[in-house]
Amino acid sequence: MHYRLNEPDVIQETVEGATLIVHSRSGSYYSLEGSGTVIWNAVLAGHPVARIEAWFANGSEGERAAIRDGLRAFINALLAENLIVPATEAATQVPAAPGTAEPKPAFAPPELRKFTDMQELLLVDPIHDVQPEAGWPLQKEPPPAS
Amino acid sequence: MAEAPLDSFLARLRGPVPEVPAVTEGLRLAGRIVHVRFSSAPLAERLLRSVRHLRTTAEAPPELTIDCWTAGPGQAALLPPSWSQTGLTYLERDPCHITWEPPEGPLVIYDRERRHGWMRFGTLDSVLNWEVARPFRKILHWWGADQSLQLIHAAAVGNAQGGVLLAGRSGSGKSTTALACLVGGLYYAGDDYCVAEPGHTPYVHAVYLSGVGNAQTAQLVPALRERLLAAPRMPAEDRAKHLIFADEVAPAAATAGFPLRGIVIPRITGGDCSRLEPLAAADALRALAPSTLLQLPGKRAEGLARLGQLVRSVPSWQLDLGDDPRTAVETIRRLLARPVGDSGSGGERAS
Repeated sequence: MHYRLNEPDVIQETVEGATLIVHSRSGSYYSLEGSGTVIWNAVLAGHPVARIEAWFANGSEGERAAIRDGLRAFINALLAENLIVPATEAATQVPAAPGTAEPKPAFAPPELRKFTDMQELLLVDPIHDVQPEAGWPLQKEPPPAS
Repeated sequence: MAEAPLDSFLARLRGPVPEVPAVTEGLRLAGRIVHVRFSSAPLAERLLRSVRHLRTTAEAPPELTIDCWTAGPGQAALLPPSWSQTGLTYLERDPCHITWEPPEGPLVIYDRERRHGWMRFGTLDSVLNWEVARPFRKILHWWGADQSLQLIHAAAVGNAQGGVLLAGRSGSGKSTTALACLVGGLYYAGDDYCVAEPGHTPYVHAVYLSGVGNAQTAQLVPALRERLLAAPRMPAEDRAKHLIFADEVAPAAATAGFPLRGIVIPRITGGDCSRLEPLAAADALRALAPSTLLQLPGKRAEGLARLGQLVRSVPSWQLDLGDDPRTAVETIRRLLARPVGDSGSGGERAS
């Protein structure tokens, strides 16, 4: 199963091994570290979850099951927060192996930390995105005055 | 998009407003020339108050033009009915960005191909002190995105050699610390918004002279008490706050900007002293990015990338604020006295 970033509502940036994710519609934002950042970036690069699991799991079957459960819970959390959505098509290019850009961390169940302190700002002064089809400049010109 | 629909829409919005503006002002912002044209002198007076330190007589062609005018009666009806709700309505249709704050707030349009912005207000009375404090904010955000400039929700203070951003959510002590630095003799590049230019030598550009404080600010910064409490109030839920201007408090503090030396995230801890501790870049980004990006519609992904570039390029610190803001000023002054490139190991403190 492939996933992609839920654009354009969700934006993200990784700095020094930690990822900040902002959901602009809900006003929530999230942070990831360690294996969470590695998995997140692998998912966004187009790796199927099974490949990420295999990359982490080179030990016993028991370890592999724990990784599978942790990975599944993490992906479900990302889906529940609408940070990623299923990708209808696989990546057009085969991405590099997950985590090749950095040393492989020991797998630890990723923690998606959620922050909601900015939501009140949006409640006080909400931003309504208008679909182009619903508003200017596609609205019809008014009829000329007779 | 063809130009005709925008031109037609603007012509209908303008109504009887003459094409030749009553007032044209040149500003130099982040080294770029910006022309702002107003339909009346009173409107110009309100919207230029916070940016008058940027005035220039340079005759170079503008890199941004902004037209501002007040509406004639009944013109709000030109907008789609679905836009008539509370909050900020935003539409992005390349190359244009449009926002409207119904019912009396400004309609703001920016065309990135023409590098031209338009701000249509209701009556002059509808130009609230939010707009006086930080005029043209959204247009500068959209325009800046194409100029590698990032409007940032942060205060900025420094000296001729460099300065720091003070970032954090409302109530973190950011504004009070900035105003204390203003009184304390540091350069002042804003208490709420400024423009950052990432790059090899990241730079902070001052945009607004405004500063906002409440009765608690007046208590914490006694030198400002009289001026602050006599100043005009901010509107609506911010009515406990008063609006002042840095050039009236300390004319020498007004600056065009300075090299960025670091990012400081204040938090109120109390006690006899203020203290700096090193902060991870990711933590600085978390303090800086959501409040910047969630309050400005459009261009968010690019904005987050620029903020990421910024926090990677300079060190960050957490500033534990003591009871007396003067200790924070002294702590920042000592930080700025360090040689450039010396991020130190933290521990800077003043009591």
